[in-house]
Amino acid sequence: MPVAPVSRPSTLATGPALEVVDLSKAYLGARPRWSGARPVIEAIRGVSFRAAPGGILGIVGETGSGKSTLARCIAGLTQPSAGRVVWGDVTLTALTREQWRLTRRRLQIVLQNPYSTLDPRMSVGQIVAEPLANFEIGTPRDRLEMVRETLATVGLAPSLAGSRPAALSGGQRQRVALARALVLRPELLILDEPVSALDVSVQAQVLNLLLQLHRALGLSYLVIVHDLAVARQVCDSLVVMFAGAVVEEGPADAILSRPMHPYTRQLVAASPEIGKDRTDGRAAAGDAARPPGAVHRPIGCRYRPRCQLTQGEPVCGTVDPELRELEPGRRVACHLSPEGSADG
Amino acid sequence: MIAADATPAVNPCTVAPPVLQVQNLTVAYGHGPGRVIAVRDVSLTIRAGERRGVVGESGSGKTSLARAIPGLLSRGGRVVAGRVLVASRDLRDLSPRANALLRRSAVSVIFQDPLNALDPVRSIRSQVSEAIRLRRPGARRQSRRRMRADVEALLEECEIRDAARVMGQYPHELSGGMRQRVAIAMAVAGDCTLIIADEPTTALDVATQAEILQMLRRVIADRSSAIMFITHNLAVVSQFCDTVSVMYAGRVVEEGPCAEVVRDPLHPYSQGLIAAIPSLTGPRQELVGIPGEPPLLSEPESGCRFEPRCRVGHGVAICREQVPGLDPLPGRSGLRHVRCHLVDRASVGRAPAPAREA
Repeated sequence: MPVAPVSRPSTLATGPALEVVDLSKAYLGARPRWSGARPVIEAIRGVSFRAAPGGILGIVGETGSGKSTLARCIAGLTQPSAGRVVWGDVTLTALTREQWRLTRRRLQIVLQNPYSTLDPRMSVGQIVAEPLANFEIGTPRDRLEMVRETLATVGLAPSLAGSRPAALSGGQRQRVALARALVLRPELLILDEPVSALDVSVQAQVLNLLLQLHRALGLSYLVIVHDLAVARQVCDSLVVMFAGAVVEEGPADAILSRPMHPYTRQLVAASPEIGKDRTDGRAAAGDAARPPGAVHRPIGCRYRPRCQLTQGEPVCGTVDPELRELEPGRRVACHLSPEGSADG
Repeated sequence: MIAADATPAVNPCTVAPPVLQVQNLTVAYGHGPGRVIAVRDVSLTIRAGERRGVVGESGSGKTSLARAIPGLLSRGGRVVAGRVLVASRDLRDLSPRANALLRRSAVSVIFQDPLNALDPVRSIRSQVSEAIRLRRPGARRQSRRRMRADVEALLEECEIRDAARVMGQYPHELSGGMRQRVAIAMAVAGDCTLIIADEPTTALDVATQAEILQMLRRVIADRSSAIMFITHNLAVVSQFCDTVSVMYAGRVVEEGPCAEVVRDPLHPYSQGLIAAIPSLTGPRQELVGIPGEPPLLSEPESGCRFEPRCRVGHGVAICREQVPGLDPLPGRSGLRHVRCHLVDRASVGRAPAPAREA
């Protein structure tokens, strides 16, 4: 693996692009019941994409598609098995522990569940101030001021600084988690399902807040979402994952209004929508729910067992499709998509 | 062909008889000053074959309502007022034995997490055959071979591929979608007249959700069962249900035919809820969330619970002082009920609904 020269974080240019190159992560599965080696489970395999600086990139896919593993690898919480992540002129995957610690000031991750990621014994003020203390930023008095400012940025009353997480609603907790990430003024924020635990009316508030912060603070987001309508609401571009690999990539609006990969089409068809024709759900029927099977990969296209496009073409059964640029800015991993997209 | 012959055909032209009548039901948790009234004075009627959605956010009381009907309230919860009639019989008037018999033959429940309904140490076959024995009269004396065939047919009806293999498996070996199919198979093992489904597809991926909803719709139509479908997802309700009750802070605030309510919501809360849902089609626009947070249910009710967050009634005296009734709307089909003092103003002063072309 090539090791890029690591410069001191403070001298880096702001707002670098994030580039993921051929990233893979494999886990060892449980030992089989009788005997034999532990199976290798490929959570993500050969994932490559580029996130433009200052943009909002969404990663969508179903449960088990590898979205969260990907985010954890990028954030340095999980060591990938192969491949690299380059952020500006820093190769994140080659950083030492101490270098990571310094880099993390500029790259923050907000985890999914606001009910389990906040320490119940700490007050909101302490939670938000903790990263400042870790990096020895400012005097205690400065920190108090920065905490108050950050709480205001995410729309929380400064009076809440003394409350414990248990006293807060789900929406307020998610705002606290955001404040904790934003207090260091990061350049890249990784958000793992930022609204999936929230009620619809609160979800709208948090999505609006995220968009507003993005405009005001000029940071980049990498957002993991499973709800396509939420993805459309916040993201500029999308990466669609299936069974650990990228199957489609491009601008969010284009992908969702005219999906090219059969998997993306199935996702769009199956998404419930107010006012949608009741029969539309049928488009999603068929072999939709068959799990991709992380251990025994089919030879050839991994989507083939569920694909509604393939008519048993030999190429689908023998060759794993690469991402191909079918239109400017749109890449699709499907042997058949150009023909298929004509009727879609 | 699962016991469909025993179900009387419902003539859609006649007004179907009610299978569930909830009358002024109030459910409370705890005692004293900290007592939480989760469901307050809720009345609703579900008729044979009706697909009723109950929509609300967390804390709206929808799950307490769903659990109070079959008598499955969790510890500390109890019905403090009102009654529940299943097939016009009050469950509390019956002897424990008759009560159990009625509940098992007439009411089935499907939970969000099917692991709650499945026993981890028993095979799928053993659990589904138990459900058949409990729910089908006469199945108790059935031969093992016949029972095996019935289980397999039931699983196949719920679109489980390889039913013969799945029968020998245990819950942990199945995916979430498969488990929910097994739970549905157990729920529809008999001719239940009413199915209560509490967020049955919330934990599933959209593709699985679409398949399961389609399957569920078919199996309940085959049995002419009614369903009470509880969810937070209005989009799912709009695609699955005939009628909908919108709940807020323990009360039903709006009720009516699903298509009408979704197209033309009249309560400011329903309007806010619909405006808050991002859309996959139409122009991308800023979402309008509902400001504020839901009320604390331990606090006494004085006036409309939605008033502090309401676009129309915020600060209006009558809204603060009087609890509005769930009244039928004059000039409409007679099926729509709204709990709002200012319903005329709410429907007039509303910002145009976001474009949602199919």
